[in-house]
Amino acid sequence: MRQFIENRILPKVEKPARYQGNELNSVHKDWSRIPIRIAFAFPDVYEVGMSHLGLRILYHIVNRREDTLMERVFAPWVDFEDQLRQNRIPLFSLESYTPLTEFDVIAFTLQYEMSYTNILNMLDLAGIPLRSSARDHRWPLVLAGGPAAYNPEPVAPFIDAFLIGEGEDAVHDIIDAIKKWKQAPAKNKGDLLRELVRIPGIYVPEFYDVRYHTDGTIREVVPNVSFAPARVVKRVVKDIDRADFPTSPIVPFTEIIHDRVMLEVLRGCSRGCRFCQAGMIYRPVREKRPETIMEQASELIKNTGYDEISLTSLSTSDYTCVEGVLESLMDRYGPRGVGISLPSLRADSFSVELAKQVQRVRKTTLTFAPEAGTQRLRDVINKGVTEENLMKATEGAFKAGWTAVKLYFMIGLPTETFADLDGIADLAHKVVNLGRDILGERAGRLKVTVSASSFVPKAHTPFQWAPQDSIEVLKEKQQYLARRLKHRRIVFNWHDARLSFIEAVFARGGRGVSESLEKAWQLGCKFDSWTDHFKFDKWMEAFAGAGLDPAFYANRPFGLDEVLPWDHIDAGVSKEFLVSEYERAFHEQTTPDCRHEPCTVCGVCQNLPAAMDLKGGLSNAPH
Amino acid sequence: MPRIRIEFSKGEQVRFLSHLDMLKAFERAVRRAEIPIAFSEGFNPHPRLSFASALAVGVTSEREYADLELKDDVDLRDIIGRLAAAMPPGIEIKAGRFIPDNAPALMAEVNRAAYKVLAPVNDTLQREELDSQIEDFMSLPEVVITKWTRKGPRQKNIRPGIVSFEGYLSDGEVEFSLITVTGSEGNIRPEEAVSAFTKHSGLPIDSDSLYIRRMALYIEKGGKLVSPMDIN
Repeated sequence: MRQFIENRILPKVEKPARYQGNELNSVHKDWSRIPIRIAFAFPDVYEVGMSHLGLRILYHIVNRREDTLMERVFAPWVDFEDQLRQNRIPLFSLESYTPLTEFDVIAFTLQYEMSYTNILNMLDLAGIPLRSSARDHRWPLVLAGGPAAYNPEPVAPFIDAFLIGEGEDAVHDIIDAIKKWKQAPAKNKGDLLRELVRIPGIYVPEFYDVRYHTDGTIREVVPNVSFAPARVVKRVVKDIDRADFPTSPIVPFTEIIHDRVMLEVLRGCSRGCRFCQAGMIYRPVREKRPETIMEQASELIKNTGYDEISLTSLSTSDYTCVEGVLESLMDRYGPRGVGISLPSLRADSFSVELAKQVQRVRKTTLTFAPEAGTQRLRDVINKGVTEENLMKATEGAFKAGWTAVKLYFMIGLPTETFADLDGIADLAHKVVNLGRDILGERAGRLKVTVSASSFVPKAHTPFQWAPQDSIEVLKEKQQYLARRLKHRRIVFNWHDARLSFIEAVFARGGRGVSESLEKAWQLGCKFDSWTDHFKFDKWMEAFAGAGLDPAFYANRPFGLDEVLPWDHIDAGVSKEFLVSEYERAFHEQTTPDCRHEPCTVCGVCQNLPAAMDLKGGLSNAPH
Repeated sequence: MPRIRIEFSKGEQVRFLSHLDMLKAFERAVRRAEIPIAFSEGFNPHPRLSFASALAVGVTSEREYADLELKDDVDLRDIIGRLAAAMPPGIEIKAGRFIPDNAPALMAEVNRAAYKVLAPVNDTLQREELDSQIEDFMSLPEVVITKWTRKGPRQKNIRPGIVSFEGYLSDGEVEFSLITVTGSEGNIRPEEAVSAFTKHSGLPIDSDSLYIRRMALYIEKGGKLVSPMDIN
C-alpha cells in the first residue's frame, strides 16, 4: 500500500511531505512485538497538529513504554482525502501506514470546537462507525482529551471515553487498563469501559443519563451505573518540574506553524480574565525550576537542531524566574545563532523589556492583547491592564525600534456598548500618534494592526452563563469599528461572526447538539476553521434538519440555577467562585491575582491534589 | 576559512521534501552535529551552506552536492562522520573533501544532470518501435513545449537542453535514461523531456505517473563530464 500511495497518490497532492512520516525522532516500532497500539489523531492538518505541544509530549511518553506504540494521524487535506476515497484506501497512520482499524485505540485531541467535523470525517475515512454505540470491542476504542473535552457533551455519542485534564500521568493508567483488559480471555467493550471509568479523570458518556425539563434545559445528568462517579474531576500534574517532558521531539521536514523548540516553562495562569477558558482549566500555576529549563533547552537544541527556542506558557512574562532564565539562555545560545522567543506578551513595560532583551536581531511585530477598549470593560472582564500600561508598553516598543504592533481585542463581551468600541478606535489612534511621534523619519513604516475576535462563552469560565451577541449585532459592531479605524496606518481584521456563532453552539451545547454535528458533516462540512471551507448555509441546514435552535445555546443567557451541560465535569474551579466572578463582573469589580493578594478561593488548591508552585517565590511574581 | 564539499543522496524516505525542506534539514543537522559553520554577515545571519542544484519534490537522487564554509580548522573525517550521524534517515553523506578558497560556487559550475525515469506503459510496446521513435525524437531540430506561467502560455524549445536520451523496455515499464542541461545555462526538467517524447511519438506511455531519480550532477568542461568532487 505504501508504494502505491507514494508512487500514485503523493505526486498528485499538495504538500506531500505532510504524509511521508519519516521525520527525525519519529518512532517506528515493530508491530509484531508491541501489544498495545495507539493512534494519536489530530483533527486538523499536519502543520497545525505538529505545532501542538501536547501531541509531542504524549507521543514520546507513550513510545518510551516497551509495551506500547503510538503513531500519528492528521486530517488529510481535501485533495488527499479525494484520492483516498477514489482509491478506497482507509485512513492510515504516518509512521507505518497502518489502517486506523488495526489500532487498539484512536485518541483524538479536542483543541477547538470547529475541528469536530474533522473527527467524524477521520473516523469515516478510516471505515469506523461514527457512534460509540455502533462499535463493539472489535473496533478500536475511541478516546478524546484536550481543553475542549471540558464540555464533552457535543461529541459524547461518538467518543467512548474522555480524559479530563492533564495527560502525563493519566495516559499510563489508561494504557495499563487496556493492557489488563486485552489479556483477559473473553473480551467485551463494557468490561473495558468499566476498567477505564475507575481511573480518576475518565468520563464515559454512556454511563450517564441526561434528563431534560420541558423547556429544553437540563434537569440532571446522573450516572446510570454504580461504579461511575457523579462528578469527574480533572487530572492535574502536581509537580510540573518533575513531569515527563520529552527532549527529543519530532522535527518536521516541512514547515509547520510553530517551527521551533517549544519549551514549556510554566502551566496555568492566575490572572483570572473572566472570558478565558485556559486561564480557568489549567489552574493552578505551576512553574519549572530554572535549572530544569536550562537542561531541557540544552537537550532540545542538541536533539533537534532548531535555531529558535520558544518559552511557552499561557503567560511567560509571569514566570517568577523569567529574567534570569532569559539572560542565561541568551548568554548560552546567542553566540551560537539560536534565538529565544516569547509567544505572548502582556501589555506592560516589563514585557516589552523582556522582548527587547530577546529580540536583539530579528525585529518583527510586537503583539499585545488589551482585549477591551475602555477601562470600564477591562474591569468587567478582569483584564488587569490599564491604558497607561498599554501606552507605556507601545512607547517602549517604538523606542526600541519596533515599527509594527498588533493589538488584540474581543468584541461582543458582556455589557459592551458602542462607547467601548469607540474606546478600541481611540486606543488604536493614540498608538498611531505615539508611533508617529517617536519613529520620526521612520514613521513611514509604522503599522498598527487591530484584530477583533468575537466573544464566545466557554464552559468553566465566569462568562459561561453569558449570551453571545447575535450574528447581526456582531456584524454591525465590526462594520462600526471598520469605519472608525479607517486610517492608512491601521489594518483592521475581524473574525467571521457566523463561525463564532457555530463555535458558541458547540462550546455551550449539550449532548443534543451532536445530531446537528453529524448532519453538518453529512452535508459536507469539514475544516470549518479554514475560511475557504466554512459552509455556514450547510450548518444552518443541519440545525434545521435536526430540529435544533442554535440560538438556544449561543445567544440565550443561561440561568445561574440552571444545570449546565458540563456540570458533571469538575475543573477544580468551583461553581461558587464562577458565580461570584460573574456577579462581580456586572458590578465592574476586579478580582486580584492570587499571587499578589490573598487567595481568592477559586477552589483549585482546595479541591485538587496540587497547589500553586512558584519557583521564584511569591515576592518575585511579576505584576 | 576552510571550505568543505560533500556528496550526499536523497532517498525514498525523504523523497517528498522540497528544496527548502532539504536546506532546512541540512542546517539542523549541522547544528546537531555542532559543526563550526560560518555565518553570513548582516541582521539575519545564515549559515554558509549552499547546494549545487534544486531537486524537485518527489524526486530522489543518488548524488547531490553541498558546500559548507567553516570558521575553524577541522579534521575532515571527524566533520563528515559527525554530519553523517546527525542526518535524518534518508539523507546519506557519501563523501567529503576540502576545496580551494577560490573554487567557484557549486551553483555556478554544475551544468549537467543525469536522470533515470520510470514510466508505466499502458498498452503493448515493442522494443524496436521505442528505439526508432527515440532516434526520430533526437533527430528533431527543435522540440517546442508550452509552459504555463502566471503571464499565460510560453513556448520553449527544450531540444538544445537534452544532451542524451535513451529508453529501455522492461516489465511493462520504460526506463528512460537521460542527461539534460541544468544550472545557469538553463534548466530542462526530466518530466518535460519525457512528456514531450510521449507526445511526439504517440506511444502508450503514462507520463503522469513518473518515478524520477537523479543519478548524477556534472560539470561539463570541453566535452567531458566531471564530478563536482573531482575538481582540482
